[in-house]
Amino acid sequence: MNPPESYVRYIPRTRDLYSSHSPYQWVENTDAPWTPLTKPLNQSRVALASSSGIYLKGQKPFHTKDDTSIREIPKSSSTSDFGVNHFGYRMDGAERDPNCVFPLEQMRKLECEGFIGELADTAYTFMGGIYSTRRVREELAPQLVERALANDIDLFYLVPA
Amino acid sequence: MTMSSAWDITRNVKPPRAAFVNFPLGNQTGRPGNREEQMAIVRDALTAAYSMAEPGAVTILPYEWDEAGYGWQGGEYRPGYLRPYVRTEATPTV
Repeated sequence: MNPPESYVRYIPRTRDLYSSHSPYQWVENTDAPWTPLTKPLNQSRVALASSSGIYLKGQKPFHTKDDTSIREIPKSSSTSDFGVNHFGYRMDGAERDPNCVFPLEQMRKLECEGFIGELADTAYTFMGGIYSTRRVREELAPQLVERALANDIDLFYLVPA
Repeated sequence: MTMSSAWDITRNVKPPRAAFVNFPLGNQTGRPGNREEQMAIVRDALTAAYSMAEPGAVTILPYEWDEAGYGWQGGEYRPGYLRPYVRTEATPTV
């Protein structure tokens, strides 16, 4: 499991980019949780989540100061009705085509093709540039998990951005 | 299952299952407008989720950002990186 040589080392670059601040305390987990997948993909109900800062116009846009709120996006939403706000990545691509960070149209197509069993009715978005790892752990993550589980899903597909 | 374009951060966090695409942040499920690639990446990632057996492992997906030889990595996450990607200003991959 070796990455391509050319991968960007984001941790040192973050240190350099924010060199006037005290070093960021990255999350370092020693092991990964594991839930076996019990059904095949074409029988599974899949929910989509993205930390890209995509929201539905009419919803409250995300702010970029530790916003731990979640937007619920109905799966039938049109990508032309999306807005985006995030400070950590170049948004010109996502503004033109949200599917590069929030693949809702791809997921709908995979549902139509029968590649996945079903796409959950609601997708979830948030603004992933949250400085406080504690607030992610204590506020955002439990909310996200609770809502996704209430949707009776078999697989949660996350797209960080 | 999570996408990743930041190898070092993902290795630190250790999500249960991850699929790595070596693209600039903001393109984790494919380049804007490239529907064929976007579909392939999502399909590959979901397929990988069902073949992975080691908690915290990362599947590397075989996509290249720029076959023409222009690098993007040099300027990524460095001052000015939020400017739109301009191919002609990119420096060659080292």
